[in-house]
Amino acid sequence: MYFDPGFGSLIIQVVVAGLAAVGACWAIMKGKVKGLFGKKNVAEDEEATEEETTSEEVVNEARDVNKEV
Amino acid sequence: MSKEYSSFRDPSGYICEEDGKIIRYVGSCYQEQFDTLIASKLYDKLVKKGWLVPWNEVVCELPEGMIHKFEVKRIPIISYPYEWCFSQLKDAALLTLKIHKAAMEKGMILKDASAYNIQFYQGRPILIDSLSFDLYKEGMPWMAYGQFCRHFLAPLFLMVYVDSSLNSFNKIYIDGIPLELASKLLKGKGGMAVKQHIHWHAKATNEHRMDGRESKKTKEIMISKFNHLALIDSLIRIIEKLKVKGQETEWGDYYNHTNYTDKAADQKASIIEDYLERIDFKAEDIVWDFGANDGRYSRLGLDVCTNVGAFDIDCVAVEKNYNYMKDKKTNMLPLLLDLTQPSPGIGFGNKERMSITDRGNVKCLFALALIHHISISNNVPFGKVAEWLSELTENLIIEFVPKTDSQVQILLATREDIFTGYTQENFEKEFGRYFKLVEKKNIEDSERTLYLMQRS
Repeated sequence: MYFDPGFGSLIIQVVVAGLAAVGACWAIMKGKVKGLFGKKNVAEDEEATEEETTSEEVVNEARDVNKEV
Repeated sequence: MSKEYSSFRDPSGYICEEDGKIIRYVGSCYQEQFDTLIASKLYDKLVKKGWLVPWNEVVCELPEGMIHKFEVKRIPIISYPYEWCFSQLKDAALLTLKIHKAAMEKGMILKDASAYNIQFYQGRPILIDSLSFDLYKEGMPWMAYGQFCRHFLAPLFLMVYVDSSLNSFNKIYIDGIPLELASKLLKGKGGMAVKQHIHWHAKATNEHRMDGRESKKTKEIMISKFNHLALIDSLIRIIEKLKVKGQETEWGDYYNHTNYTDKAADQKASIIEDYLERIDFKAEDIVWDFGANDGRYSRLGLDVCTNVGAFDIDCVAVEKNYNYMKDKKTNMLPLLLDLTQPSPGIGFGNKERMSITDRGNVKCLFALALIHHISISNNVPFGKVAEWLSELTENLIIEFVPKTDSQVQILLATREDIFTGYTQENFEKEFGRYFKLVEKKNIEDSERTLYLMQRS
């Protein structure tokens, strides 16, 4: 260091960085909670998609059967 | 070889000029940091983003104590934080923080956060101090936090919460605005951000002024990397949200309230273009526009060379010009300048930061719709104006505004007309002592005359 960083500046930095970190943790937790609700919705969509696919497959099989006939 | 006068504080290396090139020498004490800067690819990343000036190594015999020599890209127009509008200072602050964050990702840290480490290039801020990086060790606090608050946060908060002109404090406080002063001026203003980074900070600085003189105490202060980065992100968010409230200033809306008809304005531009074509420009030459306002005429300079300084006393005008130009990737730089007390030389020996006169000797200077403000509003005789301008420029495009002009009538409306020497004849005579009159043309639909002059 080629200049004096100031002892007071370093002490206050510990405080304000700590407050910033609390804020950052809160933002991360909030994001995770939102994500949890978000994951539930995605799972429901995936089930619905699987059911739709199954229905399609049934229809296509029926068509193939008809063709053969 | 001439060493850059201001390059003396940091023993890691220094800047000088050799054979018209900007040279940076790197000292042996910076070996480990330099090797990390390169090996970590931090240098490559920052240069690629346009955040750090690039350099090319020069292989030759080195002075004692030096381990590398680089030719550094020259910044055409040098400016200082007290010449920046709010948005320029804000962008410079954000760049400093983003570079610091990028450095920490690569195991390094910005060891200082001086506003003088930033210049403007192609419309955007850029870090010019390539040796500003130190090694990061887990637990290390940001040693430059105090400097960042004085150089950037304090003036930004003052501009937002007190007055947009208070960036000028940087002119009298070369190492940033003292936090105690900022705290007094910001009393009861701003929210938690001002409270933490200015008020609490000022108090802590005062109370612990004599502590930590033993280096051991400073070394005991530790901050986890998570907390450190959280602080930087928090500062980025705070600064990004800062806005100067819309202000009506004397010159901010100038072109909506002038006496130029559209025809006159177009012809004025056309005459300026004609005059510029008569000057033998090289691409790297510089044009200055004094009283540039929103820069509409300054931009004509970009047709003939690549570097234009657009100076105005009005912070709103400079702000408009900067925000308009910043994504255009040109070297037109809007800056604040009061021509009646232009930027002085400051710092040690009055030479650390150059006066505007010392940065002068440009190829061409515009003084459009200006002379009446200097000579009538500020009582500066034509001869003194001409003498100063002759130190600044080789070619001068200047507009004479007679007393019969409506704008001059407004200036004289509330004062005694003591300006017996304010005549076109006297204007030509006084300027003729320093310049050769090359051409003069009247602007249609106005009483004004545009001159092209060349320094004699």
